[in-house]
Amino acid sequence: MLTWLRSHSLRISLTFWNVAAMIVVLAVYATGVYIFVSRNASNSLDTEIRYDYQWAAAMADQLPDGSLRWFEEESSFGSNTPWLQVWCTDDAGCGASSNRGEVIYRTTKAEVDPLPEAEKLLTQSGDAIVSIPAEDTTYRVLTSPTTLRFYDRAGQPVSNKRVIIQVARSELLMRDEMRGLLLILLLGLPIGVVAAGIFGYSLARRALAPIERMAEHAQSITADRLHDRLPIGNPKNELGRLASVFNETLGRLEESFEQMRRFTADVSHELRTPLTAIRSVGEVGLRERRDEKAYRGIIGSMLEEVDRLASLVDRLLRWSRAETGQTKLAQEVIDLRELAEDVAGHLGVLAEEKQQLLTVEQAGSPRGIGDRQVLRQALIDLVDNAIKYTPAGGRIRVRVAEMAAGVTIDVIDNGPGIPPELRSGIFSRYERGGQAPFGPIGGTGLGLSISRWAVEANGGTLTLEPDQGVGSTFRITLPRATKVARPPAERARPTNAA
Amino acid sequence: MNILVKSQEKTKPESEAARVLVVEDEHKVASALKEGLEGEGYDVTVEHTGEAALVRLKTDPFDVVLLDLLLPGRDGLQVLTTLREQGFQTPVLVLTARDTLDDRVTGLNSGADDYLVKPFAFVEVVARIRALLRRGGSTGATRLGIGDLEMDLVTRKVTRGGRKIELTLREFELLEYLLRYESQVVSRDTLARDVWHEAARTTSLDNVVDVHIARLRRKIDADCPIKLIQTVRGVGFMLREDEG
Repeated sequence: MLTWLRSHSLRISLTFWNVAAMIVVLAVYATGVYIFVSRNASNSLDTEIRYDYQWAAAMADQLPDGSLRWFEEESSFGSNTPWLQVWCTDDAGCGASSNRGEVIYRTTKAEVDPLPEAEKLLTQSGDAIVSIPAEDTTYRVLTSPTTLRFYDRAGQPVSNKRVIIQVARSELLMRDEMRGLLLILLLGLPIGVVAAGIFGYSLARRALAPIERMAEHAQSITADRLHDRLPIGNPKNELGRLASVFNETLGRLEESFEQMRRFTADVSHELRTPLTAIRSVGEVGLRERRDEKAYRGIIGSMLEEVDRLASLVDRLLRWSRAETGQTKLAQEVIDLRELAEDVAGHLGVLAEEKQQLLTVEQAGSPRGIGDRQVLRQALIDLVDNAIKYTPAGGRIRVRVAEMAAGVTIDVIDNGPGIPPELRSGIFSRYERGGQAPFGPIGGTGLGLSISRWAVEANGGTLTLEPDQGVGSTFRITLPRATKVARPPAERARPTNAA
Repeated sequence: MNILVKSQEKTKPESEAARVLVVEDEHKVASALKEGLEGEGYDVTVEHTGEAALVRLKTDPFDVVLLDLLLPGRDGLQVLTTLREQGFQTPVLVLTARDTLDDRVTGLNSGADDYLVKPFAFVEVVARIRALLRRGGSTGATRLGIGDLEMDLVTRKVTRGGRKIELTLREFELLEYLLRYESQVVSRDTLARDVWHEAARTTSLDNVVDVHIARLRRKIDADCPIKLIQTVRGVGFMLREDEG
């Protein structure tokens, strides 16, 4: 059953549960009503019988000969005259010829439907109502002795007569009513269930319609139409929240699509440059006959471009792996001074070639946390940039220090600085500050954005410090290593001891 | 399998040239490798599919196999696994366009002896093949030299024509490496890895290498008519006595 439900739409299963609930409620309700009504009907039948009994006692009259007579008000009862029998008792004369156990009066009804069982009830004490089955129905019989008192015209008591009055009523009417009720209830149940089903179905449809619309709308949102958003009906209800969450997802998706599109465009631009060089060098090389040395030069030049292309692809792969979080970073304590000196030693020759002064300055002994390999490359790129953009004879300082915010490495040069209009975009991909006043500068524009990623992935920041009038200062800020440096593996593991 | 290994050893003295099997589906690359390696004095056979390579390896002994990982049909990794399962001991140099650590690990775990990421430099291929063929064997020399350039690895003295040359530590290591591979082109990649011990080659590192080469040149070649350190444009550097 449940698997069947699961294979159907939400609408169907909602309707199903609605109908099931309705059946249970209606069944309980109908049973309750039936029990309540039948008990009520039975009680009121008993009340009527007792009323008949009192009436029967009041309707008695004594004839001058001492015999008893009953008014039969046909008019007031119509055909519905009560079933009534009056029995004579032994202690009072019931008439000349009457004996105990003799019926002295009975209504027409009692004559038509005699109850042979009724006589047995005479010996019974109390005034309980007893059910006696008859031909086509059950009679309820009340048998009770009573004393009839008669008065003369002056109001003086004349005589007392003790009789046993027996009244009865058929349950036929009540049974008919109950049957009618049962019929109504039984007919009503399916009608109610069907109504509940229809109502539940349309309600589910109405409730789910916005979702369906949303699904249709979402289906129409393709890669070309990612700017499209779902309409948010009521932002406070569940559907509105669903729509806004969906829209947020779409937003992120659009952003990454946009990023990818930009990336592809940028990359193809970057790839085109070396490819164009290879093609034109090759084509021009083939135009005329040359000596071997010239051909060697041409092929060499093409190979240089291939090299550029290869290293570009390499960088792009590294960048994309970083961007998608595939690169795993270590967490180790790094002595910043040692790192700065390593990098300065590594690139020192480049500065020397340009007669630049590359120095490491130190304030305190700052120790940071991060992946040494990744941070080292970021610092290499920063210092390499500084060497490139600072004219010959310039000065580049790598300063490590301990600050309130963490530990820092500053790369300070006294080059031309970065023009204000380029400062904001300096870390975005493919932007290069200070466009070549000193001749062509190699490398791709990926550098600074990769460096920034490298630092940020290690929980730090890479910032371009405010313009001091001369040169530029890039600052790497890293989280400080705590005094008692534990091995990185220790820190990564959750500690059991609390 | 033992028979095969034996026969392989037997063939070696007869033909001087080491036999190389190149398994590469890209025809241009395959024929370039064939021509280049033949130029280096190897006996080269080319197969374009993994199946053909397996069949060939069962009947023909080779000294080294160059295996592309992306092959039609049975890919290189499967070929390699099959080879090793069947007990072939031939050293395998894997060529791959996939540049991730996982690939490297699976490549080396499945029995590759070395790997090269495409696009590789040809000189790099030659260097790796040479390394695979000479595995375990160290020269153990204490003196290296070419022409009138001499290097004593023990006293760390370098002279050219009897004139003493002062070198920095890095310059010494660089020259030692070039001397070890004299008359062979050494790429910047190789130098970055073997002399600078850097994991990845970068633009700044290239510049550093170039500067060191320039300084070495100034110290060694500046005053001599025969220039030993030669630049092979677009490829790398070479230490050679005669002008090429």
